[in-house]
Amino acid sequence: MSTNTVDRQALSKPPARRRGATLTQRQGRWGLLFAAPATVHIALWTGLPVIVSIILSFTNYDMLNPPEFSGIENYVTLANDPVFWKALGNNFIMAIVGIPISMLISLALAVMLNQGLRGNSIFRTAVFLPHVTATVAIAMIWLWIYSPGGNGLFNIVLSFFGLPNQAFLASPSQALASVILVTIWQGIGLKMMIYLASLQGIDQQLYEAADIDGASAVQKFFRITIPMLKPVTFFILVTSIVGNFQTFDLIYNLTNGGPANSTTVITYQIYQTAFQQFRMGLATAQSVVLLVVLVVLTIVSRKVTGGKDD
Amino acid sequence: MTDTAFPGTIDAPAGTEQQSAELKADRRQARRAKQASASKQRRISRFALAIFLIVVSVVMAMPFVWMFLTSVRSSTEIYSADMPLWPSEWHWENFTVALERAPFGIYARNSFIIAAVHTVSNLVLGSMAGYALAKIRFRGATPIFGFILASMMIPFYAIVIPEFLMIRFVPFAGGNDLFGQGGTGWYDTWWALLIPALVSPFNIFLFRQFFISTPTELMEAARIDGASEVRTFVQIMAPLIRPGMLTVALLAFEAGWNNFLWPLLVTSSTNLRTIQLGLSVFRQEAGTEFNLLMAGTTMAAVPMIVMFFFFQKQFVNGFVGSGIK
Amino acid sequence: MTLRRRDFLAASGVSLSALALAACSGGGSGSGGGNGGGGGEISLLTPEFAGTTGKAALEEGILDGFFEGTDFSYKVDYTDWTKLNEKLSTSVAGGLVADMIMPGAGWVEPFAHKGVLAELPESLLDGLPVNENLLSQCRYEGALHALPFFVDGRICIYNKEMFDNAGITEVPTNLDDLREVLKEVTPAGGVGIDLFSSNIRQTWSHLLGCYGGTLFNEDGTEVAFTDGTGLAALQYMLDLVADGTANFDVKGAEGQPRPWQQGQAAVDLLNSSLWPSFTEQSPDLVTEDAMGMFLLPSAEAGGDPVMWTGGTLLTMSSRTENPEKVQELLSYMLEAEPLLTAVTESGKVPARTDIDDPVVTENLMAQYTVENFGYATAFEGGSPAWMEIRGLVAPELEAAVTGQKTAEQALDALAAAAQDALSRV
Repeated sequence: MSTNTVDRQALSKPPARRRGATLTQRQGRWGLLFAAPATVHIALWTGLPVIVSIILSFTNYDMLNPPEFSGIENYVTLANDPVFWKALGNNFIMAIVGIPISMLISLALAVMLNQGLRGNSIFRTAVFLPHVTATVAIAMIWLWIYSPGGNGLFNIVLSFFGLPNQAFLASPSQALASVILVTIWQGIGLKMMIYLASLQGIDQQLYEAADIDGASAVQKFFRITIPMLKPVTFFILVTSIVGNFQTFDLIYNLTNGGPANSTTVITYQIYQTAFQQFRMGLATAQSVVLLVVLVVLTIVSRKVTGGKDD
Repeated sequence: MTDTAFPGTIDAPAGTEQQSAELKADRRQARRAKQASASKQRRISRFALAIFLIVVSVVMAMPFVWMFLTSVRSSTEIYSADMPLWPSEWHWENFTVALERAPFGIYARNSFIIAAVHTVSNLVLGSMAGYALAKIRFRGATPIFGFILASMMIPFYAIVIPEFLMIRFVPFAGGNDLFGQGGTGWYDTWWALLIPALVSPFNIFLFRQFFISTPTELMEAARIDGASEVRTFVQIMAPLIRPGMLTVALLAFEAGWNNFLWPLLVTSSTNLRTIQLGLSVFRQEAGTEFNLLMAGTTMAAVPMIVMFFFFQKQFVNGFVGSGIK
Repeated sequence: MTLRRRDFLAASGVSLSALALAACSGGGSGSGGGNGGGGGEISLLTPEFAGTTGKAALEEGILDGFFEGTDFSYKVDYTDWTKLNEKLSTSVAGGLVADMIMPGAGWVEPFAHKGVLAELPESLLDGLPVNENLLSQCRYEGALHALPFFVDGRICIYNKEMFDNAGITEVPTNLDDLREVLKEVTPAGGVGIDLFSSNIRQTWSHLLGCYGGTLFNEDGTEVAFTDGTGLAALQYMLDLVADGTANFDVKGAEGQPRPWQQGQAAVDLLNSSLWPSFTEQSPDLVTEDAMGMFLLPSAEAGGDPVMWTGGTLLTMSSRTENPEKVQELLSYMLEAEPLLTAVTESGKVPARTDIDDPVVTENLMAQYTVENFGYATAFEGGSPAWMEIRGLVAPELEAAVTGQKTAEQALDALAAAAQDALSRV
């Protein structure tokens, strides 16, 4: 986070800055006061455990005996573990394929739903349904849809068109793509809602002014809508990346990382290492790597979406 | 078809009608003809859009519909080799059977309390922090925001052990001494369920993002008028992001409602368990009772869907009545 | 503001020191609550007995009978099998282990090794009609650390009509024989045997037993499946796939009927605990007329067949403050009546061989399992290192079955992981 993250618009307004030191100081105090409760809470309940985790990543800790310091051994183990690299790679594939597709679909849907059609709320609810449904249920439904035998919904459809049955989740070459489809389907709802809320937050005077200038709908979309959605796009991108790299429930219930590790992801590795192998030190090292990857990706996506938030 | 939800399109005709009172009759007629053809074209494209959205909605909702259809099937039907797509008989009693299999009343109450508390705490703490990070320049803002961002990236499984230890060794609670020894801390108490997730970094980030797109001029005007910082926040700025508030409320409620692993780990009493935990009763080693599981899941999801449907209206209305114009 | 910051620092300081203490003491402070002398609370952690009826069966049907009239009370913590790992690790790390825990096979060695489970006196077995085979998964370094409560037997069931149509009258007596039979009975578009709906790791360790192999040597200090038996077991699976009599793509999704129930498989290698759901879902298929059963035969002609068993075990925490009472409870739970209550609720196979109730005798799969306890020689575990490699087995086997790796490569990877895990024990 090297750049100034506070909104430039807010800062560059002369009145706020030039009203004299006392006002700025007073404001600063209030800023800290407003931010403090949440920050302290997160520092305590997330920050502290993370520090403990980072420390544990340099130890052997089986949760039963006291941790023993082991230097960077855990990180060396990870670097030489093909399954960990495979998991990392799967995460990247899921992110690179899944995120752009689901963001485009959700933006398109948000724009369409913003047209004020009748029955809007029903559409929105329908699109949002996957998000409110428990992942276990979602996984079981998709297991049935992907069921490799003749009783799977997709295979019924395929055989209707005279196409051969596919193995989907049972095939090492198709499983990851099948999982990505579910993540897209599951993720559209929330992204769309955020886009929608943000679309509705755009000052209508901008569009009215553009109307007076005789701008076309396409022009308005690219000149007003897209730039105004920049901050929220950054937000959605970052949260999608984070969400993607944290996919766990779905993998756990759909594939258990299989077949042959073809759908394993870092969180699943962390889970396995910690709670099936009881190697908490190694698992926390995996988490630290994940954290570093995500921080790097966040910085990159800030650059991609235009750096500053304004 | 009249516009109701797109303020831009309401305002434009309203303005022209005022002017048109002074226009001559023939010009008015010509305009009307032109408008009629334009609106016809628009009607067609709107119709196409509606059809498309219906298709999308059906695709999105299909697994949910299937979940519901499964919830009313008999177990013999589910396991028959050629299960009909539409249930041959509707076994509504699956719902009552499912309800009797676990104390779902208690579970639903617990989930509701967790969800409600987390909604309120996320709204209050999250909006305060989001506002400060978006609109107020203060020392520490940058590191705090970086910290919040980083906190979003921690997978739960990575910190579950330390977090559990914190609950268990809370000083002076549950018989513990100053060093957290001797008792059980917050283990198996409401505190363990409520405290750790009072505010999520994701929601702070969301609030910050919503506040960024609000006009700073309003804030400055309020300050010039001598409003206190608290008043500026509560009465001027916070109402501007009402749709955002509702988004966060919805997400926070949903997260609380769907909480699964944490309540299992930090409680041992049945009367502190939550609805998602109750559903595992249908998924035993000896086999999954698919129809009952789906009946239970449907019931667990319905409050969320109803709430979402309700928020839909608030979402739009709350926005139209807000100060952003 | 400074005050706030100081508060925060103080708060985090206290928590940090608490964490440090927790980590160092390993939760040595014990589970509190107990008051030494007469009376106290006995806590139980169980992945079984879920839901209203399960709770009623355990508490009203079993525990009340034991605790009534004593100074002791009980508290049950219900979890499910998929989350038992997390539940147990967090409670161990926090020093809040239940007095009595009901783990599965393969858990005993690692948790006994780490001192979480207490050794139990052999006298608990006195007069108990439990087959010695079932006790192998209850011992660690020869010492008893668990009692078998209920058991799952891994057996083969077959569709009699399909066998009759193929003219097969005798069940196979060795693995080669089975392979030939499967070629005859495979239905069009289906498989001869459903090898993959059940856990592939357990199927492999079952076949390992058929080849006379074990996962680890007697005292759990060395890998034993590397003597060729592990490879042979995996190769057998690959051979069936190559024959077209087994297919990785033909398997039942959770909550969906298994291929055997849909007439897509002639034989199903399954867990006896599936009986209740089979009788409910496809009652016509599991009658004595329609369904036959056999055990996976030995690889060698004339060898004994092999039944794989898993189970739910009763164990005692080494940190309990009332060891005598907990041991009494363990004994009590294995008495015929409480055990019958438990079996009635769970539909599983009782570890005792003398339960004559219709619940067991009319459960064909359970009855068959009980009759064959003498062949229950294959099971998982056998070393404290097992937990560590347990999760690595399935991906390697799947890689071999789907052609991503050769059988040798998969087995080599497993062997390396197992050696590595053993070196850390």
